[in-house]
Amino acid sequence: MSASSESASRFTNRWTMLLVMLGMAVGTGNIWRFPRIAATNGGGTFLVPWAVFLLSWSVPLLLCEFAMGKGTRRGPVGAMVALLGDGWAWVGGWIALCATLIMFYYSVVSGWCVRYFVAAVAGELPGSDPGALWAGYAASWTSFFTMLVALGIGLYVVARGVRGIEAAARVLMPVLLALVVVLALRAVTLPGAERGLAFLFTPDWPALTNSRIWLEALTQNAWDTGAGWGLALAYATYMRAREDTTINAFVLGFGNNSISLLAGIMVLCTIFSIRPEAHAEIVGAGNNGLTFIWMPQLFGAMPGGRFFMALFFLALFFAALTSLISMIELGARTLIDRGMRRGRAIAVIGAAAVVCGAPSALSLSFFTNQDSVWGVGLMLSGLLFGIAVLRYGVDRFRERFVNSPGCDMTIGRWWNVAMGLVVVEALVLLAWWLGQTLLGVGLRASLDPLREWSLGTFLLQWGIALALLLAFGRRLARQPADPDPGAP
Amino acid sequence: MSGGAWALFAVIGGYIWGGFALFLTLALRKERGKDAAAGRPPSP
Repeated sequence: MSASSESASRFTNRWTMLLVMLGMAVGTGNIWRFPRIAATNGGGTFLVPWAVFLLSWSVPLLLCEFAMGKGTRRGPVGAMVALLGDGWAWVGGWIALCATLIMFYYSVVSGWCVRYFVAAVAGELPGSDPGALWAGYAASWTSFFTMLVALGIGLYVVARGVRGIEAAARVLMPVLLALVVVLALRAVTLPGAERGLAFLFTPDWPALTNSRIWLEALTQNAWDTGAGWGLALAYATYMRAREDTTINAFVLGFGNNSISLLAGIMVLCTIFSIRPEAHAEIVGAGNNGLTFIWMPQLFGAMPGGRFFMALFFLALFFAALTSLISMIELGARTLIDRGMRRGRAIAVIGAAAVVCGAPSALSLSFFTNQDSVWGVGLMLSGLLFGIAVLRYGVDRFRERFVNSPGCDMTIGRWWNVAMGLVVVEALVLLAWWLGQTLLGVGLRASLDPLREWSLGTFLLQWGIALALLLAFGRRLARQPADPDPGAP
Repeated sequence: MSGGAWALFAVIGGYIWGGFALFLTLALRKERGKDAAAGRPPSP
């Protein structure tokens, strides 16, 4: 690769790279899931394990992905093959497939944010019947149309290569950060907001012996930082040669959780100020119920609520869009690594997203099923990253890919321990989530593969994916020496 | 808010937001150092 084409396919500078990476990590999970999960798991008590797992799951895995992407200049499949040989192509294939299947239904979520932003601006919300808009909109052709809008924006950005991704992040991320800060400041200045702060920060120390709180905190870190998804790896292929991995992984992990904490303050202070008596019902309403049914009502009851409601849904859309862009890039990167030109790869990914995302746009039951199957599948992705590093040799990986010449911060043997912990944590999480399916509906019902949430549907869909990846593993491993670097 | 809640707010807020500010400052400062060493104008 010539020097000019190499510089055209790298991030311009560290600041822009960090904005792009933060865009990948900060998504709807920070804004709608974190406040709900924190509130239903003891508030202050939840924050302790959540802070612990930032350093024993998110940062070590992000560091691993940064190092693999920058070291191999390939997406997950190529990186695994470069590290461990052709026999590991299916592992990279699983990581890429899982994130791409999530992208299909995540484009539906991004479309929902577009629709609710428009509804907030047009004054359709909250309306006389709180759930009317949601009931008529979700699982409709309008939902499919808004999915196409969000997907179209994401595909356009990624089609322009690394420069397009940078340009989007330069605009979207500062605005998103400003919106979250403004909304949090508005929330804490509402009358009675201190009850929300007290709920979020009051610890119940004996509750720390409750294993469920620890497992929920680990799950939240696994889902909202994007660690172990392969997205950071795909973006890291554009890191400049002089770029550091360790310090950037810390910035990303702490930056992502900073936004989550602000979102928790924003949502809980709003709830406790406007409807304190209904807080349990509101946070128990699930992601969609909290965001699309309750939040418009809460904003509707606050002075200047329509304005702040529009800001809230704009922030949610920007968070969703920047994450959607990273998922499209990962899918495209996997095809580009196989020798496909960027334009063609974007067309293939776009067509697949329209076809495979449509069922999620038209059926909430299908959406819930896909969210469960591939959301839990991400824990398997995290596990596979951990096993790959252990197989390669943690010391060898650290010296070759992380503590390389010119790095800003070297890491010591604590990272060996952390990667071992990641494997143990992922195994515990997988066992717990699969156990939940058994306990939730009983053994017989849980084996039914056609249920929204069952062991049967998990094993069937994972089994098909793994069988295909193992069957075509050797083919996946065959990649050209110098794929399209990132220019359109 | 109780004293315990204020204490946890300070510890968690300091750890998460303080950690972010610290690592971000460190990252940008190191970048400027590299720019200066290479004789390039500093990155924004």
